[in-house]
Amino acid sequence: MNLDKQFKKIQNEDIENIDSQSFIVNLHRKRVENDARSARFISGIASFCILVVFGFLTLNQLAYDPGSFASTDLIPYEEMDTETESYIVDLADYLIDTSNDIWETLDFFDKINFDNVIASNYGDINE
Amino acid sequence: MRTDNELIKDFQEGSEKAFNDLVDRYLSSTYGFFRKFTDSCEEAEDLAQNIFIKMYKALKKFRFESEFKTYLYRANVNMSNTYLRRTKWKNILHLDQVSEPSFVDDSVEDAWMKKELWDAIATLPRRQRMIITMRLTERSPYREIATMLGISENSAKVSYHHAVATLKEKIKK
Repeated sequence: MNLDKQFKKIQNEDIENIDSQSFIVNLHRKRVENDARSARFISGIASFCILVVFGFLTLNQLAYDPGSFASTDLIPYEEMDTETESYIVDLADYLIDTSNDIWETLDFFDKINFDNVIASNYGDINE
Repeated sequence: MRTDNELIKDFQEGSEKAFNDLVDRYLSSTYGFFRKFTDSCEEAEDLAQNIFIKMYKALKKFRFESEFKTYLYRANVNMSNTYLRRTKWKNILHLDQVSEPSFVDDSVEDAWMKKELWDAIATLPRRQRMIITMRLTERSPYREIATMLGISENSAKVSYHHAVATLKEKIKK
């Protein structure tokens, strides 16, 4: 390829005319589309940021750890501590063994108001 | 005839027609500039549209420190630089192997030679690429090129000759 010849050819190249009216119409259509696209993008980002901030604030406002709201009745569930649990299990085993009657054992737990012991683990909701 | 600055002032005051008049005034030179190194008229039109969309935003804050013509020309050169850099990557990644150039009024051979030349220009370093583009598309004098790139006139000449030598080497291969 002769470079100088090619350079001259490019420099002297005749460029076809362009219809300015349709160009301007297309230009404004494209500009409006671009603006709409960037507005959508910005509002999407803004919505996401608002959701993140509100989500964070809401989680911070909860009185209890959100993990404790696992049950559907929204009563905060707290597990009995290991010591109390093993004591109750041992007591129940002993009572069932000695009385040979599970209903008597349950009746006993009713009498000592064991429900309240359990309820006390829920905080003050039953008081 | 209203001057560029008068039209820009009108546009800044909210006249869309003033902007359209400005586009009408510089459309053929801008389109012609891009048409010299693009494969198709659609591509040149697309680049020209992108430039005028940028102008639409930029002119609202235009401070009349330079002539609009120079401002537009600088934007065109920057856009061409971006386009040629993209072409370089397309060639490296072989993304445009399928398409064939479709130049109007040129023979297929001429079209391929032109494409080969611009592909080679795309591989030049940034400054050389810009100088070659300005010389080829607008026949810009070295003084104007030097002012635009913030270099001395001699430096512009040296870069141009380096670029031509590199192109000759590349095309020989």
